[in-house]
Amino acid sequence: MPKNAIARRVLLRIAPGALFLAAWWIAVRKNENLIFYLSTPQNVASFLSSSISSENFWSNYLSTMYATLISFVIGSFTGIAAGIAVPLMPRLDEAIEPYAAFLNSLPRIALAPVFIAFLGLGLLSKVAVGFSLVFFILFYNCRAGVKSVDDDLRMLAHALDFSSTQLFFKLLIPTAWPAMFSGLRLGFTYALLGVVSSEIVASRAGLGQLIMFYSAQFDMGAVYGVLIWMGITSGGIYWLTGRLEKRLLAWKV
Amino acid sequence: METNISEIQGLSSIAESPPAFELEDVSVCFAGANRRQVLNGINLRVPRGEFIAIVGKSGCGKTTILNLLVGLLTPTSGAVKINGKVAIESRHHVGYMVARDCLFPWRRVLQNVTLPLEVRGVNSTERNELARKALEKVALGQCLELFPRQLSHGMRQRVALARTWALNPDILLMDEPFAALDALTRLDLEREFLGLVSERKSTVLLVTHDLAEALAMADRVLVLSEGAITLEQKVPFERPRDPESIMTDTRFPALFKRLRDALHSREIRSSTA
Repeated sequence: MPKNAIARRVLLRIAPGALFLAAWWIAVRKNENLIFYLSTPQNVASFLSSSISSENFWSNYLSTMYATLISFVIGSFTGIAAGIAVPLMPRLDEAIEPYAAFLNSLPRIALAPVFIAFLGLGLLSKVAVGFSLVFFILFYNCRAGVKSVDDDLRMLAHALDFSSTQLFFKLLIPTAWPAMFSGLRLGFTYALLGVVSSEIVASRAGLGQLIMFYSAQFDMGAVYGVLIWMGITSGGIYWLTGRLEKRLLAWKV
Repeated sequence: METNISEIQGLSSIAESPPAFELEDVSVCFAGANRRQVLNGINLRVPRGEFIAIVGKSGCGKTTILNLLVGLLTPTSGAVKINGKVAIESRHHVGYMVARDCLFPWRRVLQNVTLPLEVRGVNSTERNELARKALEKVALGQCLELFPRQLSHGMRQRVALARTWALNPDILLMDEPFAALDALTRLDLEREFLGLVSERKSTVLLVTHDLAEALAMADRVLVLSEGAITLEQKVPFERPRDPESIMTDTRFPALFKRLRDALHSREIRSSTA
């Protein structure tokens, strides 16, 4: 890409953000009552810079991310395993389908009080909520992937005399891989969603709890600051995995 | 003198060895709700090295014959034999190619061609070597590292051809392999294919609805209609041949007409019945 085009692209991407900041800044200058809800760009900026060296912030941040990572890893593994194994057993698939659909359609945040009642205010209940989201995303994505094996390729595999192991590793898994990967990308975002929601319902530590704490004090600048940190983390990972996807799925359009 | 003797010996061994494949009084009847007779007492002997074409309208049972030979289907009655053995036990000798290229989109060109060899357990250096040679034969030696989506239709079908070829099968079963291609690419591929076939002296069964293609490629053309062979036509053109020049041969129109009439007459009879 020529230098000119890069500059144009950067400008194009920065412009909406700059406009938004300007509008925000002007709004709170014109009407000082709005500061109560909107805080100010300067307040948010000062929270962000002070949070970098704040031990309290980082311990909450790590608490959330730790729970997110655990629920992501466990949820992905079990979701992928079930999503591949279940459609290979059509009867089981049919039997559990309504139950899986029921569980998956529950608003999982509503389960948070249940998990908290069973598992307490610590790590386990947060992980449970995150897990309940991640598992179903991976389960459904992998299941759809496994079921989408091309009939003609299956026929070719038969004509070439694939063993069942070869059928699994050379046809089934590669077919399911794109759906699996997009499930993994989505899974991280949803793990964070589950963990933070659970923290908001009740917890001793974490970014969700921090948001509740600051909003109770009407320190909106800090609330927005925490939100920005969450966005940077989750968005950053989404972007990175997007790059990875481009490499791993180069064979797709 | 010596060459002469060996030629004669070669000929006699061909005559004695079992045919490449044969169908003995084969009938296939699909059971179930849409129960119907697909093949009705087919007898067919194809000696080693013969190129045979089956033409017929869609639904006449062409593809069923291929499925029997590949082992995807067992006959309701009669026997299907490959090299004198029951078809399902000797699937290894058979290469199979269809109208869709059926390339694995996640594999690069070279890896697509090595796939059948991988399944057979050929080691990686040997299978890469074989695949590379096969791809050079179809003029794709420069495209080894591309993905199927980066190729044109014709190129993809060439890769499929190389994949079928890399296995070095005694018998090639082709189900409308060139049907999805534009006329020019098709002619190119037909020519390449004929070249490869005569080089290896493979036995080929080509299923097509295109009479001109059948005449241009085969030694013998069978007309299949409603599950029975209604005409068997020897093709007098000698090998090696060029599919394009066949169509301008003086004998071509009469042959074409004979085949077309055979397809047609049956149709009229069935419609009056």
